[in-house]
Amino acid sequence: MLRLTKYEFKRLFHSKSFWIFLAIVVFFSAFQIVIMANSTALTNSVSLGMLEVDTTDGNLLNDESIQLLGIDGLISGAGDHLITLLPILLSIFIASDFSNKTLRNVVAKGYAKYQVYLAKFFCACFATTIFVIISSVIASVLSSILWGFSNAIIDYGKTASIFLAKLMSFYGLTSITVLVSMTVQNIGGSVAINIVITRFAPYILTSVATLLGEEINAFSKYEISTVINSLPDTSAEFSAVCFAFLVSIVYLAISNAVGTYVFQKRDL
Amino acid sequence: MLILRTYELTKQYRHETAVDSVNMTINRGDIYGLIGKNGAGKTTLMKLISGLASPTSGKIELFGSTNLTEQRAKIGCLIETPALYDHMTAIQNLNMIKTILKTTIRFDVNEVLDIVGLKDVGKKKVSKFSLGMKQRLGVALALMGSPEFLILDEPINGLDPLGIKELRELLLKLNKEFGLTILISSHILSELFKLASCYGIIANGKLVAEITQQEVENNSFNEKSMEESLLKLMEVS
Repeated sequence: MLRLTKYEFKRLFHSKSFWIFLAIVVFFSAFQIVIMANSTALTNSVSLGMLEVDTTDGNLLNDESIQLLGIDGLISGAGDHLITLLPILLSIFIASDFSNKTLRNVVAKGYAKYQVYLAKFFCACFATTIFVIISSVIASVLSSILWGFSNAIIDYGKTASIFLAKLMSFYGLTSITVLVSMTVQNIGGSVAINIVITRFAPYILTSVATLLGEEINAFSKYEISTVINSLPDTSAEFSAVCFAFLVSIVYLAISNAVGTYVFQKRDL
Repeated sequence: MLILRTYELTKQYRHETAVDSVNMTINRGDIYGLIGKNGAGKTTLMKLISGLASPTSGKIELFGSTNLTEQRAKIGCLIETPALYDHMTAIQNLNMIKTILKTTIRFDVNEVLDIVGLKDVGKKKVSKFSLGMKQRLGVALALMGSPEFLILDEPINGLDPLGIKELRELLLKLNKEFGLTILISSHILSELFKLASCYGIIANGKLVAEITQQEVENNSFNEKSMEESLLKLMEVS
């Protein structure tokens, strides 16, 4: 299993797409802070919970008071762009092993298919961790330079638990992406389905809810991108953190169980 | 000693039976030539043996054991096209395989490249390789580790006449010097006759005949009569 995981890591670091996506993530993470610092139009981003707003009179302040503290940048840095970019990168990384037929070399060397699946999942989680950490650090460093790190006493325990809950939510997203890619076994198909699941599912659920009533709408809170976005910054409630942990664990357990079962049944 | 034995091995897809109740035996040291028309079931049978496909029913025994996952570590295979990372060099491709080997290494990366005649292009990217060079690298990948049993599906596809001769000599050398057992399929019967010590004829998924080394020797087949006999068997089935 260790050899397989090492093999996957080697593949990841040799993969051109990994480095390209890493550059894109660095760019987006920096870009969103730069835009925030320079644009007055960003007041709309309050809905994302990314901005510090003076609410004493219930209004948004002018552009000068739009700010993201460094500590909040640590949480909000791993944001919406990763929900789109991660499934694309991981789909390409995993499904290319099927397109090149290189996965055959591994299976034929005497490894059980569940080991192959789990090695890919661990490697995908590793890539996710790198992306989340880099996004968070860039957002935090830049926002600290621009607006300072914090203006109150920092609750490190709370910040760490929110960060970990967010990371877990991204692992949940990763587990679905791995499941889809290992099942579809085709780059184009995997990218398309993963994007539909992560980007369009929330809209589809909301649209269906408006047609059918609130029962479906209640279900949409379990949708993984909703869970990720429910942890916007350090102001996230304890209940939201616990909920994110629980939902992520359910995603991880179900996706990996279904994924290994389906993959073992598939021929290569 | 038996290297491979299959019992009523069957692979069924939705509307067709690709491999139909195959009982096959390969002994240590054999070079087993698998012969059959296109779509006869040769590749599927090889995939079942190497674990790339799961049988619908039947049993496989490798090295006298049914713990196939463990035993497959002793197999090297090249099925259909060589599975390579085009953006890596030949050496990097071999090093990737080296990472996942469970067995001790008989040949080092450079030795394997030397054996398959790619020593001078080890640092060249695979995307720049010709089909024949890729085929050789595919064989090199199969040779990494200490395989006791090689499964080669149409390994001479894409090779030039010199490459075919070199590969044949290589396989014979591996068989004689290292005692490697080889299961090989090819459309080029004449080439198979120069290599194989026994034959299996597969048609419509069924193993219609097996000709052992002793039978070949006893019947004193020459190349032409052998070809005719085998073609007749394929047609009859």
